[in-house]
Amino acid sequence: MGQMKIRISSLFLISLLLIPQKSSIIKGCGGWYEESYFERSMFIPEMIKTDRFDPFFLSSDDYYSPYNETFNNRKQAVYKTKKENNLDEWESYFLKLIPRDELIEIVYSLPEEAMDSFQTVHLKAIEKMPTSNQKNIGIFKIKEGAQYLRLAKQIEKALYINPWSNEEYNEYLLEGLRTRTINKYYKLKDKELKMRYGFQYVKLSYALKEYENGIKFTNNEYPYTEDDGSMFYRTHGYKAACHVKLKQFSQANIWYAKLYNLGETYKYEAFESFHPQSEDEWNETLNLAESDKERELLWHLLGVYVDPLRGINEIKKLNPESEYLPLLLVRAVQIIENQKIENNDYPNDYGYDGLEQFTPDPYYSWTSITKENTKELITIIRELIPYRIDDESLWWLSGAYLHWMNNDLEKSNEWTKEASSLAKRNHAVLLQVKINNLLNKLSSIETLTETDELEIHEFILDMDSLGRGVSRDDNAIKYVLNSLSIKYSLMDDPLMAELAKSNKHNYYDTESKVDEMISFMLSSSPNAFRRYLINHYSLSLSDLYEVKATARIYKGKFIEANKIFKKNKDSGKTELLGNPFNDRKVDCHDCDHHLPQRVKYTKESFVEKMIELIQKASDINNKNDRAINYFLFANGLYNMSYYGNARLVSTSAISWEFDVSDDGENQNNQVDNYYDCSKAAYYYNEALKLSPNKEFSAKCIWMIAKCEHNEWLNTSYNYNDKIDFVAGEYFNQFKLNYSDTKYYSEVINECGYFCQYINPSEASCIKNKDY
Amino acid sequence: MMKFKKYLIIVGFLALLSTGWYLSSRKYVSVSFYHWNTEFNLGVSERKLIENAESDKIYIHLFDLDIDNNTGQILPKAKVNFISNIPENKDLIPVIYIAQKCFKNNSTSSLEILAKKTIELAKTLVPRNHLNWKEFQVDCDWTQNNKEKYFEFLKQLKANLSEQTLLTCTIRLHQIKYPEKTGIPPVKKGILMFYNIGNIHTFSIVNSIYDFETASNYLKRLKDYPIKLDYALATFSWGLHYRMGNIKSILTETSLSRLDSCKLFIKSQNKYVCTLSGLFEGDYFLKGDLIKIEKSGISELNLAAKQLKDHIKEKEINLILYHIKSSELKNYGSNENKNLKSIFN
Repeated sequence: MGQMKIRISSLFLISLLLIPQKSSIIKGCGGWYEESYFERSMFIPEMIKTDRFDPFFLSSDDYYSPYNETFNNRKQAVYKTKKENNLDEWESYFLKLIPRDELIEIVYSLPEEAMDSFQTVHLKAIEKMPTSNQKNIGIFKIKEGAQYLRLAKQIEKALYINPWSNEEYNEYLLEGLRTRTINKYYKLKDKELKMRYGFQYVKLSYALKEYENGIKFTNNEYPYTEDDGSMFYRTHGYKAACHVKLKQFSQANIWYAKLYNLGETYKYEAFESFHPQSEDEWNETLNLAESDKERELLWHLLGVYVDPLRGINEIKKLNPESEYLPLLLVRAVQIIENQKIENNDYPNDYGYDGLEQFTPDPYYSWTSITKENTKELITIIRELIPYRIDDESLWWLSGAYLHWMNNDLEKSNEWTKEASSLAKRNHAVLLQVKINNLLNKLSSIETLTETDELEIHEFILDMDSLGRGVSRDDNAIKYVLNSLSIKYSLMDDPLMAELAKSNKHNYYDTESKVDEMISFMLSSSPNAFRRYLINHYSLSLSDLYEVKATARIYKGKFIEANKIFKKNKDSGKTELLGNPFNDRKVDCHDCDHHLPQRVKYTKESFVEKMIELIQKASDINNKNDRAINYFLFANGLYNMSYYGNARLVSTSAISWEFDVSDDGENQNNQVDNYYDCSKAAYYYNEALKLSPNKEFSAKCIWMIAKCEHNEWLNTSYNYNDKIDFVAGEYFNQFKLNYSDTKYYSEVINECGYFCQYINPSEASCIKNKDY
Repeated sequence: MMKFKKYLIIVGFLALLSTGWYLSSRKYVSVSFYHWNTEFNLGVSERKLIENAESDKIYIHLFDLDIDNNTGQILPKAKVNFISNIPENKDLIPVIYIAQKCFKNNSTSSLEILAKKTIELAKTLVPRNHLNWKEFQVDCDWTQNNKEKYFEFLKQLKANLSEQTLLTCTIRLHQIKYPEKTGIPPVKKGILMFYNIGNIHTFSIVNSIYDFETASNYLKRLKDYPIKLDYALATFSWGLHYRMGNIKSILTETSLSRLDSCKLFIKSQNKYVCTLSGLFEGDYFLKGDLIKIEKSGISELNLAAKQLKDHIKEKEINLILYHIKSSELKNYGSNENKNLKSIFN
């Protein structure tokens, strides 16, 4: 009732073919984006020589994706999907006589009725071939293949249950189909089809709940091996599922382990189906193993599944040289790292999003070894090293990394050195050596000096010289800079703290901070490390000039802003989306942005134009154009405010235009006067004073009225009052004095609010409100 | 003599008045049960439970609606299968649970279709002689982020039910406390879930199923809640598996009964401490893990009823106990039932 989802093992879907239900992680995300583990980790599991186990590296996703995050130059086995595998087998069965596209259609899309025409068409084609042995085989394969596919499609249809119904399987139908499959199985000699019929037989036995029958058939009548193709996996998968239904978990789990080990295509499913239930039953599973090698495999799986330390200890007793140990080692280090090392860009902030987010997940192994086990793991590693001739450096470096996390720098350096002498040309190992060296250097710093800075820089350059890996080296640099940032803060050096780890939205709270940073960037004194920080800082000189210029613009100091823009050729080059000198009866930013623009304004050219307009408007000798220049200048002011089409003017590297959230922090990032329409109103009024005609005056009054309304929206509007229009002084003036202008009638046509204000009962006014 | 008669008349009048007051303030209390298993198979003890409680109905969970991980579609899961009959003369009240993550990007038309399919499926699942439902109940832990979609779904469900069927939905305590945020569902009656009160995510000594102190924080505004309420009370137990202070899994009552005989744990008050890493009931325990046993039995039930009593406005009080298959109800007889009802009068 209001159930938090309880995952009960016995309810797990066990079949290899049925994709197990994966549940979400425990946390419900309500705030910041959490970086994935690989955006934080500094440990390289790819130091393992084989790529066989790569998908099982600890990952924030269900499985570590070999497609996205392959370590540089690592040759990843590209695993075939089940579908690709199946199609390959069909292609080979039909002697490549059927094109791939057609095969996809035949196997996965077409209904059973279409098999007749498939058979007819291809038989005709083959019959045109000269008589040969291949022709005869081809005819046989087409006929038998079509017959099998017809039956398989019938079975698929019979096994479909509409989830929105109370339907059950038609047992008579399934029984009939099963008889047909078994008859064919015994009659046929063709191995591929025989395997397929056998698979269908076990699948139908499972559906008919004749589990013992399915198991008996597979064990006694199905003599195929993994080398015979995918049907081997699928049939034994159903057999294992039958064991589960009979609560014979030991027999099921040993088969899931075998299937995990044998091939890549069904590895995930085999792992996800592996669910030991109790210690007694687990001991039975171990007893069922045919060799120590198989027992190693079982402990390996238990280690990946729930307890890497126990897995390592047990395999160590059986065979310290085991191929199943390295994955457990790197997973254990990764799990401890995840618990011990904070290396986030963002704070973790999870909000409540309902209890149902709680879904315990057995695959979610983030705590299957705890940080308290670090020393125990180090001891085991040391004991195993003499046996690890082929991958000794992996073990030294894993141990060194654990020592570093335990703050035993002497040992960490010592173990890293051991690995360094063995590293040879293995990129992942060499990189981990350099990462360890960098981290050890960082941790050895007590009071940060210039020498330390330069040494850190040398380590970073050394790492760069190797050629970068996949994120882990970047993460290490991020970690080092984050740590240094804290040190700088403690040393009361906020500028360096900001450079090492930017918190720009909070840091630049005064213009003097911007000036200080500009001076620092321009000065010749920074050492190589500090220069490195400047080069990698998220804000450039042009960004900082733009921050300063933007503040000037909103203070109305356009000449000063222009001078600042001129200090850097890249500053102020953001292109505006619409013409900032346009005016509208009803604001519509998208409309302005879509209009063709003869002149494309940037922030800089906008400022230049504003200077030109105000100069012309103020020139008392310029008798003809003063009013229009005031009006255009006012349009510029209107459009650069929150209400206009050029909000982009307010954007800089530390402020953004659209944010109107209630979040205080974000509010700080808006430039001053962003919501102020009074300056625009003032210059519309100046234009009005010099107005050449009534139409122009009407336009000025309307724009002032808009500003007045914006002011009301900004200060007095309350959503809950459900009143979104209050006519102020200038709407009244417009109504009283300008109703005879053309502009007035245009406004009534466009602005629903004003139209309704004039004619409260006029229903046709509503249409325009959507602006 | 006349004076005495007059006195008698006055006394009689007062007695009548107080009886009338007593009758008018007396509350009618009914007790019924939730059935939440996928197999509806009532045994003798459960039938006896219904009889002792004089229930006239049984709330049966028919299915869950949740996002299917393979298709991304909303699909029914954990559908009930009726093995045994519903006790005679008892009404079946269908209950469905819908995961809040179902309400994300749905259009009104998709909710309309979902509601239609939900009712159709419910009809196909219940026995044919139990199709005239007096009530249809929806359970969902909605939040302010998805209330619009959920409420629309409720409206669409209502449109697909007959006029005689009252649509109801569960309401959590936080929804009672913050109705401005979470909204009021468009139903005539809700069911206050007066349990699952505490936070189970991190270990705490408080009983998360029911705790008097914690519950009292939520009750101040109960009388102001604008729709009528029934009250769901807890009679079940579970085990919360913690590692490093964080929840890892939940153990069912059946698993709890096997804990004492498992050599991986030692018992310490209401906790079991794992002293040897290993497998138990399909779950894995590392040395140091804890299992916190929480229960809400008959004494907690009575305490919850006493706590509720002063905060509810309904004269007809419908109590629904979750859930009928719990071992916490094995000692619930007619005396316990009378006792529970008497708390409200």
